[in-house]
Amino acid sequence: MPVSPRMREKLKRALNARRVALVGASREQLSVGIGPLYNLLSRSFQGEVLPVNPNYNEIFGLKCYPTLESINPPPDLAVLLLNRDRALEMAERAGKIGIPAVTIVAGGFREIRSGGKAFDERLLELATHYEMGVIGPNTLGFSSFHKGLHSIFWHLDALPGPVAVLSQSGGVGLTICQGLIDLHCGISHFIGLGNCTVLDFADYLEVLADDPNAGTFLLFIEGVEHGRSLYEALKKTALRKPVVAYKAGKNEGVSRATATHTGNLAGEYRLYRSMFKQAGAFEAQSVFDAAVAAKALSMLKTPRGHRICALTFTAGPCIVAMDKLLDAGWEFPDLSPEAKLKIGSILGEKTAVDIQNPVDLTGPGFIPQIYKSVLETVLQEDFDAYFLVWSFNPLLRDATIEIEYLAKKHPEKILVFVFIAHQIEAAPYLAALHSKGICTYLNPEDGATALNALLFRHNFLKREGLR
Amino acid sequence: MILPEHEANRMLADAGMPMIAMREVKSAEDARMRAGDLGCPVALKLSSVLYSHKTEVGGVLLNLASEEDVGKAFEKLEKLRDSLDSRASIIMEPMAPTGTEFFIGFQLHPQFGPVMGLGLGGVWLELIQDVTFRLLPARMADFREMCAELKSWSKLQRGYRNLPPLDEGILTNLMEKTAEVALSHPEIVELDLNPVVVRSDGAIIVDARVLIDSSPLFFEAGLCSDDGAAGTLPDRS
Repeated sequence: MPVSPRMREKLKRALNARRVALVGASREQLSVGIGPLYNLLSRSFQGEVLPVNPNYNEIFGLKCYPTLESINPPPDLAVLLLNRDRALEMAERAGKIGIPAVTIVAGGFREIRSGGKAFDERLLELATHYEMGVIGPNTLGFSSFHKGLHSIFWHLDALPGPVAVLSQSGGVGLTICQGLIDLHCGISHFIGLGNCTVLDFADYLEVLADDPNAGTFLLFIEGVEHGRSLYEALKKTALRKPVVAYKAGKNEGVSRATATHTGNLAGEYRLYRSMFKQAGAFEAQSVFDAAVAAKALSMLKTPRGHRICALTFTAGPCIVAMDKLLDAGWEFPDLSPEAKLKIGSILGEKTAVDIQNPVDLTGPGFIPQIYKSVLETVLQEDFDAYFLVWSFNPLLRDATIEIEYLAKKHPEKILVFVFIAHQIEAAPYLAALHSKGICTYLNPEDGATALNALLFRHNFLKREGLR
Repeated sequence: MILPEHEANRMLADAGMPMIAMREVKSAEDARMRAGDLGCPVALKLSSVLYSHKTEVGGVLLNLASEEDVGKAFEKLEKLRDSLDSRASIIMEPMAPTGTEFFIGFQLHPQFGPVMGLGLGGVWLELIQDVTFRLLPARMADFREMCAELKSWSKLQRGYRNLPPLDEGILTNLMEKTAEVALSHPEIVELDLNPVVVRSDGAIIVDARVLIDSSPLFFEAGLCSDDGAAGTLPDRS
C-alpha cells in the first residue's frame, strides 16, 4: 500500500541525495561493491561519496568509514551492497540513526519461495517502524542522471534527459534504457523497483511527478499487489505528464485465475490493459516500442486532433505506417485544391503522379529543394501532425537541413521523421536531428508507434476535459 | 453467497434495473394460470442457490407453447427440485425478446477494486471472449470507449443480420445504471448480467447472477468513499 507522506518526503530526499553512503564499497572488480563507487566517481556527482567498509581506510582516494554510524551527520542515502542478512541488519542500524532511505540490492526475499517472504515482512516492519524508505530489495538501485547521482551497481551509460524509467526488473529496465540511448533520448532517472516491499510504483510516481527533470514516465511492470493504487497513481501522473507502460505476463497462464465468472474472464492482463487506457498510460507492445513512445512523448507537443499528412518519395514505408496509424484513429484527409495545384507545379508536368495524402513525390522527391517546397506547402495546410519519410542514399544530399529549417520555422507543427538507413550510418544524423528537436526514427513502424502514442495522449486529455 | 435467481431479479428490479418480468409459481395450477395471464410461450426455471448453471441440470424449460405444456413442465421441475434442492423455487418468465445480447459484469476485484466488464453476451461470451473492462467509478466517455473496444461493436451497431441497429445510448445508460447500483450496494461482490438484450426500444436483463457478501468488505477496503458511491463520474467536455 502507498506509504506515509513522511516516507515519501524521505524518498524525495534520497532521490536527490547530496551525501551517499556505500555500505560494502569495494575495489574488488568482482564485487557489487565496486559498481556504485565507479558510477558515482565517473559522473559529475557534486555531492559526497562515503564508502563504508571496515577493511579499508580509503578507496580510490576517498576516506572509507568503518561503520555507518561513524558518518556524521548521517547521509541522505545508504546503498547497502551486502547480502540479505547483513543488509537487513544494516537497514535496522540505518533506521536507528535516521537515514532517510536505503537501497537494498540483495535478493533472497520473497522472490524465493522457500521462506523468503518472512524477510520481506521483517524489512517492511522495520521500514514502517523507522519510517525509512527502502528501494528494492532485489534491485540494481537507482540513478538520478541530472544530479550525477548514478548509484546503480551496473553499467548504464545514459545521458541526462527527460525520460524517467521505472522498472520492476533491472534487466528489462536496462534494455529499455539501451532503446532510449539508441534513439538518442536522454534519461532523467533509472529506478529498479525490485520487490517493491516498501516503496511501490505509486510512491516513486508521486515523488517524481513533481521533479521538473522527469518529463515523461516509462514503466515496466511485471505485476503489482495493489492494482488500484497503481491505477490511481498512473492517472494522477498522466494528468500532468505523459506515461508509457509496458507489461509482462500477458499469457493467461501467467495470470491469476479467480474462480468466479467475471474473474475468469478478467484475466489479469486484460484488466491491466483496460486500466492503462483508463489511466492515460500508453501501453507499449515491446521494450523498444516503449522507448519509441517515450521519446516522442518527451520531445513533441500533444496534437490537437487526429488529422495527419504524410510526405515521402517512396510509397511503401507510408503504407506500412498507415496500417498502424489508421488502426489507432489517425485520418488522412485530402489536401486542399490549392495545395494540390501548387505541389503539381513544384513537381512539373513530367511527373506522372496522383497528388493526394499521403503525398508521394516519387523521383523528384529526393531532390532536397523539391522535398522542401512540398513540405512547406503541406505545412501551410491544417493538419495536426506530419509523418515524413526520407530514404538515405550517400550518393545524394539528404533533406535533413531543409527539414530542420522548416521545423524551426513552424514550431507549432508536430513532425515525426522516418530516416530509412541502418543504425550505424544513421547515427550521426540521428544525433544531429535529435539536437535540433526533430523526432526521428529509422523505420516506419516506429514512426507510427510514436504518432499513436501522441494521439493516445490527445484522446486521454480530451476525455479528461483538459483540452 | 449467490442469491437465488428470483431474489437477484427482485433486488435489481427494486434498484431500478430493467429486469425481465419474473414470478414465482407455487403449483402446476398456479403456473397454468400465470401462463394464461402472461401469454404463451413462456419459460419455467428452477431458481436454486446450489445450481447456478441450471441449464446443465435440466432446470430450464423454454418455449412452453400452451398452458398444458406449462403444467407438465412444472411437474417436471418439481421432481427435479425434490431430487436436487428442496429449497429451490420455480419461476416463470416470458420468453426473452430478441435483440443484440451483451454481458455486463461487475466484480470487486482483489487487486483493482470495483471493475466493470462489457462483452458480447449470451452463449458467445465464453467462446469468443470479446470483453473489455474499466475500473469504477468511470465516466460516460469510458463506457462509450468500452463499446467501441468490442471487436464485434461496429458490425453490431449497424445491425447485424436480422438484428436492428444499436442505440449506443441505451447500452451505456444501462452500464452507468449498473455501476451506480453495484457501487451503492457494497454487499454486492459480483454481478453477472447475461444476457442483456438490447433492442431499439430499450434493454432487458434476462438473467442475473448476484454474489453477495454479508460483511461490507467494500467499504472496509476503503476502495470507495461515501461520496464516491455513484458509479459514474461527470463527463468532462
